[in-house]
Amino acid sequence: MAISLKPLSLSVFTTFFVMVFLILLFGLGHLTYREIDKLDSKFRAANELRAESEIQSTLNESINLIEQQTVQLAVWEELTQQLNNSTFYTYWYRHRSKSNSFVSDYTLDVALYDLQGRVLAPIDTSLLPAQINIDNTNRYLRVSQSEPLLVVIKPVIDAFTQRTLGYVATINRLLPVFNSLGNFNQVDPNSLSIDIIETDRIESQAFIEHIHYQLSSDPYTEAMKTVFEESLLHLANIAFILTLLIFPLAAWLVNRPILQISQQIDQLKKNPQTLVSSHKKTPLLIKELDKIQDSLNAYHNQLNQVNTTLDEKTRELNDLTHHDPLTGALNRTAFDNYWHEVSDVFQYSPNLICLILFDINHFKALNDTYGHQAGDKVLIAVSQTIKNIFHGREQLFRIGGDEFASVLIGVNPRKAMQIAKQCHLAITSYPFKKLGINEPVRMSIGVAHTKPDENENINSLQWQADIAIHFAKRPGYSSIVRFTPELAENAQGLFSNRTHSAVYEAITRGTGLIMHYQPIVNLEDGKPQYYEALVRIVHEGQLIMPSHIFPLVEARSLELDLDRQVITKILEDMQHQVIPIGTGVSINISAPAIVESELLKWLAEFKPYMDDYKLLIEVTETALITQLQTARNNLESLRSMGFRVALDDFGSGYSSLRYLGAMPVDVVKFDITLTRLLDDEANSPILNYLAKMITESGHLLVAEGIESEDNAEQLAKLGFRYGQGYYFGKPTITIQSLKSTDDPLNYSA
Amino acid sequence: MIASIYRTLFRNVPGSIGLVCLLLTGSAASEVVHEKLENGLMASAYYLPSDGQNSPILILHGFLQTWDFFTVRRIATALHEAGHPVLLPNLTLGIENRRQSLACEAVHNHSMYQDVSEIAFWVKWLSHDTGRPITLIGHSAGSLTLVAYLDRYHDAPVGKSILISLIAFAQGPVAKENKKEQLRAEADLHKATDKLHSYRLAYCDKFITTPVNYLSYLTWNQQRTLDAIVRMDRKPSIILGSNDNRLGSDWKQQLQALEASVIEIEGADHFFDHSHEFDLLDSIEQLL
Repeated sequence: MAISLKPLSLSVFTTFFVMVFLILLFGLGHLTYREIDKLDSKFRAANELRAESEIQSTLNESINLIEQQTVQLAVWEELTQQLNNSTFYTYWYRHRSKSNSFVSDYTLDVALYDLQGRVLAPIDTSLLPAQINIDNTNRYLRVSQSEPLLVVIKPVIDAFTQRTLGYVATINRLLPVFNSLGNFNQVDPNSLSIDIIETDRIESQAFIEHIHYQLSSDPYTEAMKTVFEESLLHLANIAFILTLLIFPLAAWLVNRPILQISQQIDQLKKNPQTLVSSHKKTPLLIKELDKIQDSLNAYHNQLNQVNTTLDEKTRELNDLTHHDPLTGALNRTAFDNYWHEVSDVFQYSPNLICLILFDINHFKALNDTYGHQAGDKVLIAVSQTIKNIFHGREQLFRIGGDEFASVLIGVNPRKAMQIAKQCHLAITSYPFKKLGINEPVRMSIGVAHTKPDENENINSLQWQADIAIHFAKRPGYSSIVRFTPELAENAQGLFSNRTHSAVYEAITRGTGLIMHYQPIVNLEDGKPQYYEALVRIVHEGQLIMPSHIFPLVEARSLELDLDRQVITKILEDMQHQVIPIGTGVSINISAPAIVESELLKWLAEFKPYMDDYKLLIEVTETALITQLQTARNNLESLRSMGFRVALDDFGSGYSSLRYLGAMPVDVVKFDITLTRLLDDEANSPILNYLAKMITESGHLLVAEGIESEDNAEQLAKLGFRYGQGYYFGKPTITIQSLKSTDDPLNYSA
Repeated sequence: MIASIYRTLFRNVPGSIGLVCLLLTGSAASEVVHEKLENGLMASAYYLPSDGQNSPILILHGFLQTWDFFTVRRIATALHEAGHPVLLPNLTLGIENRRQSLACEAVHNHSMYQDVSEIAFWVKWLSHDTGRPITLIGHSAGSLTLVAYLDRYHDAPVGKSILISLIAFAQGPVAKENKKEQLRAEADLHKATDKLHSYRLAYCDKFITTPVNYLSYLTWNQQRTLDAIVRMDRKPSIILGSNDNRLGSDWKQQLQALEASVIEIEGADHFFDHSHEFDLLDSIEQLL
């Protein structure tokens, strides 16, 4: 799964990098400090071992020294004297035992014992026991008031006879000797202490466990640690200072140019039209960044130039697509887009909107009389005249052949009527004679406007304007008519507001659009061969018939939209097998759609159904096809895709034979008006000859409007292969299961 | 003669070093003699025997000293080298096999009587060992002990006696105080005989002993000493140092008045140290 990362700014990156660098620096310093600390710990551990050794050796040495001192005392002859004759022992004890050269200051007490271990004379103040165990005369430690005292007992031996005369015991302060001997390197002598307050006897080895001390500061280690720490601190300071110096420099050299480029990009975004001059740029001092900036500027300028060109082309294209090339006014597409936008805005912000429709009276007659060129000049003159009145404030749309429209927003109806009158007056006053037009050119104008307080549908405005202009063309009405509800009542049936909205919704969104299918049967056996798809619109439970649909479609030029919806709907019905497999369907295509390049793409969606259905394209003979070659090409392409082409309503228009000759038609459907010629004996030979002629030209004939068996039989005799009419079946939404013939359509006569 | 040789050999050598050399050369024949005295104590003496026919000599150390005292040791060594058997007894001073000098402040459980008895024992021992008359040499209080011995044993097998730095108790600077001390001791004597007291004796300001023992020494004052010498059949030879400040100012004259041979060595002190040892040895040689 891709993770979308939000890009960060350069300053954040720079800060992050600085932070990471400082953290790494700190981490490195910390590691180094830890290593120093480890080294110090190793030294300390070694010093502790040496200190233990010092304590051990000093204690042993102290004990040995005291013991040796007692040994020296034991050979003092005054001891021999006392042991041989203890008469004056008390005196000797008090005055001599501790005042002689054999006893040191640290000796607290001396006592002499006979061979049984009894003291020669009990002394109350003596620190030594009155009785000693002569079997265990080992030295031992005694602690009194936290003062370690060493008791040493030695035999007094006659030098000549080697006879033991008795024993001498000394009790000695250990610490003075310990301190005096302690040439301590690792032990701080001032920190020496013991954790025993009182004990009568403890061996020296056990006593050592109770000695506590602190390590003396090792000058070398301390000096080395200090040097390390100071070096580390110096390095940290240097690194910090370098960081303070280098990062601003790096920021100035790298960040500043990048930020400058970024700011320039932002500036160009704000003002994309700005041209960047290479002379005005600030040098970035970095070759690559300079190159990037130059490239950016050059690219921007080139892009700007391309954009300018594109804008021009777009404008041109927009003009072409939204402007009528003849009059220069906006075309029908532009009107629809604009109307859509206005509708959207109106939904959220109801405003006063006026729609003015302009229609040149008898323009077709002008065309027919003076030719298309003159008609075109009239259109140009009318368009230009109205534009002059508008002074560029309003837009003028050419929405049909001789129809123009304008949408006035925020203009009240009274003002709109004034503008309409100005336009009408200007057209009336225009010297059309110089265009070679001798008859006066008149214009009908319909005005409709919204009533924001009545919450009305803006789409009804077009219908209202249509009604207004309808009445403007009628005798007895002014050429400028403003829509009123009374006009709508008079026009009921012709221009139903309800029908108008429903048709518009069906065409634009497909809402309510349904297809009815009427069978085309084989006149020989009466079995349905295929079905003609006929459009209907269901609105509020009622059907809107084609007679109400097509006038509006043609009036609004919505043929393409309707055809697209019809094709979509028929495809849906085929998917749902509304049309029995093995039959066929005939699709009515309007004249504008026949020349539409998209038509082939729309109809290509029927390809999957080609094997199961016969598909016909019906082109109405009444439609005015102005681009015959384009229409011919499209129809040829459709035939190659598998479609067959039927010419509908043959005989109802004015160019029936022309179309038949110019276009690739497979089937000719005789209009009902021709079919009814059967009822007129005078005209029936015409029908007979016409049918014979078309049949012989290789076309398949289909008769419309068959309402009786006689008609069917007569038409069959005339060579009509298929027939359509209420006699065979009305158009219905569902097709009854009439078995169709299995024979494929035989398009040949 | 012997002293001359020593002087020639060691004139340029300090006397102490020369003495060490002599001790080393003569030590091979020396021995420590241990004998049990009549009072039960073991006594010891340093004996330098000799095969020669020269007179055996007994040399007695000074007050509370031992045979290791340098004055007597030098004399002994020199005389032994000269062919004299020399015995240097240590007075026990109440201590078995005493080998150490005794401090003034120590318990002194001895008396002049015991000392004299021990001299008598050792004279007898030496006489028995050599079979010849003994020459007695004493130093300082040792000389006084020999006087007491000679006074007590008139028939002692003694030929000559040489008393070096002869001194009597209650003499010299302390004579006056000793008189008071004698009175105090005599008073103490009447109180209890076996109680220790501190007295002044010779150079000891605190001499710890019983009144009886104290008086046994103190009574050997100048007069008693002079009287004893007077009573001697063979007058002793006396060697004094002219700078001996421990002696009374009239002591020399008093001795000379006794017809004793008194030799005064100019410049010598009580111990005849330094170069005066040679003069002393010369004088002894002349006397022998």
